Amino acid sequence: MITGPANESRDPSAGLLRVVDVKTHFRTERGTVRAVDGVSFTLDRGRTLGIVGESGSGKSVLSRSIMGLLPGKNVVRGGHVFYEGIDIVGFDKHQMRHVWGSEMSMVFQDPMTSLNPVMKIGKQITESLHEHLKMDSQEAADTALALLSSVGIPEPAARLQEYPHQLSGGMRQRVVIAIALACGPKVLFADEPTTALDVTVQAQILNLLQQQQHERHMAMILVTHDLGVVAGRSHEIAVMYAGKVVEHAPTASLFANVRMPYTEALLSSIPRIENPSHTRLDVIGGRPPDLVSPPPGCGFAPRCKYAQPRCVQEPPPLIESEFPGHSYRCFYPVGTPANLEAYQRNITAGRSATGLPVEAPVTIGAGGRL
Amino acid sequence: MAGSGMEHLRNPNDVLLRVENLVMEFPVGKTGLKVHAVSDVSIDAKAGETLGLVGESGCGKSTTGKAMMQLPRPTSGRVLYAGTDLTKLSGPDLRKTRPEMQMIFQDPISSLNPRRRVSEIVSEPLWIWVNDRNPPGPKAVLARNLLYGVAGIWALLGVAAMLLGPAVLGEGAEIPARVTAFLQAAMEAAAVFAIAQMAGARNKKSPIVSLAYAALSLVRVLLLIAFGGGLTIWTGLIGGASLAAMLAAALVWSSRTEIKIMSDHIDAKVRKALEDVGIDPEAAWNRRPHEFSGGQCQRICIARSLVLDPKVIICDEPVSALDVSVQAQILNLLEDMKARYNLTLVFIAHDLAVVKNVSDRVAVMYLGKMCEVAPPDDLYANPAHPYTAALLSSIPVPDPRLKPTDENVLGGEIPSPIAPPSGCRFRTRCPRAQDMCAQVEPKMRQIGLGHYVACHFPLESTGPKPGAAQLAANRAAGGVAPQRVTMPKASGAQSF
Repeated sequence: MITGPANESRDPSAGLLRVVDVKTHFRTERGTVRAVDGVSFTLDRGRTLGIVGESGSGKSVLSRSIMGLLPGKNVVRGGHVFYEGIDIVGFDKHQMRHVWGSEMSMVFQDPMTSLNPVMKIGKQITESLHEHLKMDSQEAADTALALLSSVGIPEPAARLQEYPHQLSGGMRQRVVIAIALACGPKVLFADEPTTALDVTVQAQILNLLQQQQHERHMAMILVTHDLGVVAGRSHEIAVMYAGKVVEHAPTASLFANVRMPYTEALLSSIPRIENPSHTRLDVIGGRPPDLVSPPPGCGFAPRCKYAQPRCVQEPPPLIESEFPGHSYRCFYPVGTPANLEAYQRNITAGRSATGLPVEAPVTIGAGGRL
Repeated sequence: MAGSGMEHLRNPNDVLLRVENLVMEFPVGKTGLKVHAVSDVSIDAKAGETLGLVGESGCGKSTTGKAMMQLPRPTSGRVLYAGTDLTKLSGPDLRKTRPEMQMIFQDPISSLNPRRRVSEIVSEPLWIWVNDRNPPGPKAVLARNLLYGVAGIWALLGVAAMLLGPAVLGEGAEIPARVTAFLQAAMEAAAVFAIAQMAGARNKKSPIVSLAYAALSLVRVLLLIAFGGGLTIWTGLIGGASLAAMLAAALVWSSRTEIKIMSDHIDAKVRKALEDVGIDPEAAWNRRPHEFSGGQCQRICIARSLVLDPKVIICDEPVSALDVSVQAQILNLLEDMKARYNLTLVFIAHDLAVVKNVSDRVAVMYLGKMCEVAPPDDLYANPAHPYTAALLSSIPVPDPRLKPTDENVLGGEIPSPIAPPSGCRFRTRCPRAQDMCAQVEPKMRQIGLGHYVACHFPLESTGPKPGAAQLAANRAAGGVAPQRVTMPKASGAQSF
């Protein structure tokens, strides 16, 4: 259990993890990079939040920021992270040590670089058991063995004596998961846990994470660039773009009632297995905005086919939709009359308010092969 | 899977690229063991077709792609490109096929030299391969041939002067005999060289342009000596020297003009290639790779491979390092370029949805063997090989209505290619494996139109093909959610 400053009051109704307006800015030679710019969400035990976005959208920085895993210099942090009602943003390294491992832990993308190549696997697992749970050697060794078998590693006793390079990528990632689970965290961050893995192994690892989450009743934050990965495995999804959450919704509602044009574009750019081959993919033209000097309006406006003059002038706030828990940042949300009107205007003009060429959609069947 | 055989190959006369019984083995240190990266794989691709190679890491798909390029040469087997066996070609002959076959690699940033400018990166292949298919334009050819012609006449004049000079001037002893002999030899050599150059100018394939220019300069120097020598006899030393200097200046000027014409021609081609892949040539010209995003770097890589007008491009995981939105741009671009440049593509990837999107024919590989070859829509609707079905069911589908389950997920991992399993190589992970699979290696056999499988117990076709249209209709109606591909388990399945 962690201890916070005495004047902190604990609010049991606040949820396990409450993130309020978190900002993470990096000071660089070019200026301040607004990597994460005001993100809020609440997460309870047993729930999974999927954070989805392109490279550079700030999704990894967000998870590192919540866990306090940021470099010490040239970082400006803002907002609050309430863990069991205590704001951990102000915690120093020593206080965070009580949070890392036993309360929150993280599974990183590349299992080769997140394991120590010159340390035996057994030692890497028992390290945190000694440190956080004060176990003696025998107890730690037994726990490590149990952990390795629970993550589905064959011959766990032999593996304890091996080095990371002796294992395959999938097995290494299982070891990383075992280390992350060792001290029984209540929140597990998985930052692109399967991006470095094969598709068959990816399915195994995702299933393992899900199964462990159920068994341990953890909260899980699954960070990925692949909407397919989170679609069937999360309770809610936050779509990030240019440091902001642009759409946040329960998973089913997000896919059924897409509101944010960016989410819509992201979904339609994925090649679908059920589509015939040579189906023309919808692309999102352009690039995400420079986070040093983000545009005054909506960050997605320059790439958005619905963009109107208003989108360029003022940033859209997070708007609650008619669906429970579903919010988005758009003045002309998809699936509304305002959106249809905006689209029609842009088609007539041949371009959006930001100059993006907009053409009338091609009827299905004609857009296939070139 | 894990099958051999050539049943699925088509008539050699119809295909542009044909790989037969390809074997690629790599020694493991000095242990005498071998990594069986690719074992007896055969595949072909028609002109204008996109062949998709798909499988897990370590299945040999990239090795197969590289072996097609002879990078390195395969341990055994044949790679036929337009009827020529590339494995039998000598170094220089193989080099001549290089402009026809190009590669695009997985990591666009590391496959571009960070210290070179974009213009240099994209133009380099052209400077290496100034050949028939990239003629330098009629003006340049005229200028060059004129130059060779004049050079030849000068050489002949020089020879004539040397031979006739003494007769005209009498036996004057102004020039030492050694110098005369040297000049005569030099003139003869120069004349022969110049004539050879003239004859070869039209169809010469100079592998390295700079070398050709060095040779040309040598000829010109020799000509100068010859002409200067011949003139000296007639006009005296000073007149000869001044004439030679004038001549030298003229020759330097003409060479520079020629290089300029060549360089303008190459720049124009580079500009066109960059424009075709959606990069603004003016903005990109003097910039270096680090100034571009991953997707733009991949576009530059594609421009570099297109600039030689290749026939075949082998794309080795070209979108695996890219974001989904950028991936869509690059996939569309490859389709456009395929149409515009009449390309045949070999598309290697581990993502079946991506492979399906671009391919005309898909080959599924596992541990160095071919499992299944089929047209993409048929393969995805009716996978016959248990491995194909497992791969299909492990694709994360962006649809929350399809809950991922454990039941279809392939257990275990790919076995070591140093000691691959006997018989069918997939049997150790196959839910349908029987005793027979350990003993007999399955051969490729036809099970449908253009659909071949190497399996003793292939999956039954699941009735009428669901087809994309039907699935799309289901979706549009908001009714039945599309079904995941299921892998029925054989009743007598044994584990090994």
